[in-house]
Amino acid sequence: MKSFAYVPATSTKSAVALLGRARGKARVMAGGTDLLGEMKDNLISPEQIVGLKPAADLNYVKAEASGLRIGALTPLSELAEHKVVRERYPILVQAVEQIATPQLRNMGTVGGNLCQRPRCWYYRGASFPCLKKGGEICYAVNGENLYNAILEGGPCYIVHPSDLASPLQALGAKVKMAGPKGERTVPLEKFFVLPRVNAKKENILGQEEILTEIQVPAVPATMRGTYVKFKERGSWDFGLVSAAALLDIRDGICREARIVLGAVAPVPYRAARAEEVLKGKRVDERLAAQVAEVAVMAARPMSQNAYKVRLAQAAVKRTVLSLA
Amino acid sequence: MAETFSIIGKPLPPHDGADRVCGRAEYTADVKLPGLLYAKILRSPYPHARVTKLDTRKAAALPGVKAVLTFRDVAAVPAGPALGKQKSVLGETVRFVGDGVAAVAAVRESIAEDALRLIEVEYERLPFVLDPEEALKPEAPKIYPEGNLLGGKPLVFNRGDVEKGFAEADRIFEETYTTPIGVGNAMEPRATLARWERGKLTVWLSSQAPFGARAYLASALKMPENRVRVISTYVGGGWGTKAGPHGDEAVCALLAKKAGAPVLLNFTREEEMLCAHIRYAMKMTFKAGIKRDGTLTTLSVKMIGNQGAYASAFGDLGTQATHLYQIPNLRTERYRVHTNTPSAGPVRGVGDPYETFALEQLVDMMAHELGLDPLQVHLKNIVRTGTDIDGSKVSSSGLEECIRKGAEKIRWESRGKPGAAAGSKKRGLGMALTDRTGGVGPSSAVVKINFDGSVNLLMGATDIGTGSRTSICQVVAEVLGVDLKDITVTSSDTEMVPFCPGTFGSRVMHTAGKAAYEAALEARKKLFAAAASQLKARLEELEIRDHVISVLGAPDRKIPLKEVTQKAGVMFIGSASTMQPVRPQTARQYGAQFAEVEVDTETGQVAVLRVVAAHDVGRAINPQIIDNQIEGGVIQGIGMAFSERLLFDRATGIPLNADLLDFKVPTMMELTVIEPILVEANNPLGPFGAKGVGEGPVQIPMAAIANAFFNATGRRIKELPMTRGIVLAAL
Repeated sequence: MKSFAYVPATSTKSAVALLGRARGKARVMAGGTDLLGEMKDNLISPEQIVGLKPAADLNYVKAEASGLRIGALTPLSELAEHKVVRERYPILVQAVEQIATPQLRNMGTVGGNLCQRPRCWYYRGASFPCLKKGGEICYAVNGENLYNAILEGGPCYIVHPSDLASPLQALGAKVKMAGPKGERTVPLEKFFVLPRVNAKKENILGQEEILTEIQVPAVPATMRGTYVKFKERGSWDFGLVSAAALLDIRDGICREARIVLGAVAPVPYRAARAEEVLKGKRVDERLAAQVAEVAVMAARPMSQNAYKVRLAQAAVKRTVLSLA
Repeated sequence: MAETFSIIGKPLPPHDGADRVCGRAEYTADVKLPGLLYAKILRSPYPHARVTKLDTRKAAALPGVKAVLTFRDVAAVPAGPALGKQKSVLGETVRFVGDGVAAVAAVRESIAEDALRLIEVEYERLPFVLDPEEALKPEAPKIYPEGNLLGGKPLVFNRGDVEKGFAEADRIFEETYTTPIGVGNAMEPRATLARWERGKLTVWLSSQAPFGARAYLASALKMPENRVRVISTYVGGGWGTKAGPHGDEAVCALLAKKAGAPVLLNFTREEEMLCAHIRYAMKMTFKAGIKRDGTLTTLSVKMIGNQGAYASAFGDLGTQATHLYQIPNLRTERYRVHTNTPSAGPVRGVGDPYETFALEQLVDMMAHELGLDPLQVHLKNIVRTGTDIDGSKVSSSGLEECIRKGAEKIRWESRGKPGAAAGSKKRGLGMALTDRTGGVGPSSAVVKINFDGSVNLLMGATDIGTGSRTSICQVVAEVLGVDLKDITVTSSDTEMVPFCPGTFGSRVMHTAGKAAYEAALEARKKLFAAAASQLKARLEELEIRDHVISVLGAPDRKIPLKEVTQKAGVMFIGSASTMQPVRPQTARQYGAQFAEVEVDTETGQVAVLRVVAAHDVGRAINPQIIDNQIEGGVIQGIGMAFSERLLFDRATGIPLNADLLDFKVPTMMELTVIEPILVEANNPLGPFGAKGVGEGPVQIPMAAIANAFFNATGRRIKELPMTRGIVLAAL
């Protein structure tokens, strides 16, 4: 790792100012669990690190009538321990508990989880000048692509690694950003960008902008959610496939459905057609299997990852049935 | 044996357990010396290339850099004992991504890293090959001018007449199994600290074999062995990777010499995984002849092992085909093929975990095809006590007892028909056996009885976490009638202790334990000689227990140990140099493991619910330590079964997952219920009947799990690791 200067930011405002002053040579650090890994792997060598830890105005969970407001700096473990989150948003607790390890959940933050870089080993390997690093090709296409995208891939085939992104998107969350031109708030699905829009980035955050808050609307009491994640080992592993489902089932009939898949596409993948299949119908094993098929109908697996289609179907079927 | 023991057989806690867990144990990287420098190695980014330009001037000029070495400086220094190619310690031609080219020592690690970036190096890239079968083709890029097959021909072994065996068989079966490049992944990466003082070299080394390292360093640096001292007091796991010198020891020593200051070379995790050695990937074709009653008539095996860039002097492929069953007609053909991947060498069990995966699935499959119980087919064919294996008699085998006790515990008879379970969650039971050496070769020990009755044991063997510091003391304590706390053990310092080749091949208890046993007996003999005259008894009438020497049958005629030593006025010292043989008789360890799995046919998840692991240990000197060995082996086996494999990008030859996130070693979540059963078949060659047990436990889980998977689903998986993709494709 190359040496760097560490500058603490005491507030959102000071963080934005520091970033502006550094003219693209600084990076913000929240928990640091991804950033430091990127630096150690020689993917990035910022001259300056703007430390967000002292910025108290970024670390909070506020439960209000309109929903939750989560400061981007909130440690993942604190989000999962929050009383209101546990009562009203168990899907978020389930997702957090599937992230990495307890130690990493203590260090890692909610904002960092959404902004983390992809795990594709061609991106993480400094020797591969891949599209994401400004290169010409995606090495996964003809390479070891067992963990890569089955949906929405191209020209880069990463999958988004965040466990929190899919349940937050299913919940209809918005994210707030602060930058030199002020603040802006967008729905989470507009925050993420596909590689065909910009292969170098996974979201719209500008160089001098930071993610400050995640806003989760209140959820009707009849709407229940669940998150499943399939991985190769029981802990400290990114998902092969995950699914967040939020269903409003009354008298056996599904009134409202939101299904978002993780680790299958470069962004959280909303299975909109599957949601349509569910709505207005009685949820049973047969319908769940049908919904699962429709959810990944558009899948175009690569040479080594066709199994992920089956896993995604299993994930959808399980989440739907477990809520029935 | 009607003998009763005071110390052995007791699950005593490790001597050094508290030191290790409290951080007091001093590992190589903990040694602090004034003026210490830190080394880094410049490594090739290409799988096969020749260095055409190397300019280190800028690096050498960087403030804080104290020494730079390139392949030009060390052309005559070999990297370590090799069967095939003697690689020089840093190379002009590089043969895998990670091969060393130059090295730097600086006052800080970060400065050494910066210096590496300042080295100007250009390569001529050469065609490369990663797959051993590809490498055998005539058109393949040649990694060595004489070709890629180590030794130019396969290692062929013949017993009986294979064609006759096939003619005698009622059925013939053939299957091919493939297994990946594995990594030992010791908790502590390799570390070397070298210091020169008046022409004498002291090296603190994270090594399983300090004497081997001393011999290598002395020969590589052209020094007498007594001018080289290697200290490996605490080692954070080895798994074979730290058994042999790899050349980095010499690089570190030469940097220290050039800099005139001590130098520490600490491997990163990536270097630990790529630049020591890895487990041979194998492709194994097994063809067997069997009679209707389950009698094996013949076995013909062809194995292609990925040797990687360089050859290691240690470790052959495997011994299951030749040693587990009594097969009259047998042929093995072993190809060790160079490729542009990291060098392969011994990793716990060497080739046997993979060979067991193949052989034991084949036997299970044949039993099923013949409508026989695999357990009965095993029993019909296994090697037993006294079986002569190509001129080497098995000193003892408790394998049948392992099979019977394990089967009883797992309730083998409750097993259903393959694939018969309904629903998407299917359970099944599987079993597999394994054989491995029980430990061979020399070792030595010195036992000193101090005047106050306390004891010093000096032994060559290194405790790399296997507990030998404790278990071998138990052997000595038993012989001398003292407590464990009365013994201080000194080990792994080539200047302080007598010779032992090292801790590998399941050998320590059987070889170093035997030497310590003999040394203790000799010391006791001298003690008894003095006591006999004091007690006016004959030497052979004496016994010692609880620090008191007494006359057998006359317990009133007794004298405390301390009194004998003090009256005698000379120190009683016993020493022994022993050799555990391969011929005419040899110790083999055996194990039978039984796995219960639950397969989720929708997700491809295979949950290992339970593993019963019955192992013939000869005699359990410290059952707690052996239980831990077995549990550790099973957990490692679960990792090899489902997730561990080193992957390379085919287009560039660059490794993709040389880190602990992407190379998925098991976590606590992969732990299952492990039920060890210790079978004590009393090995006449070993100390108190003990034999080695270090490697057997890791060899069986993959096969037992694969057989349980078949029993659950009716499908076979012939490839490791059994990832979701492979499992789902099989279902």
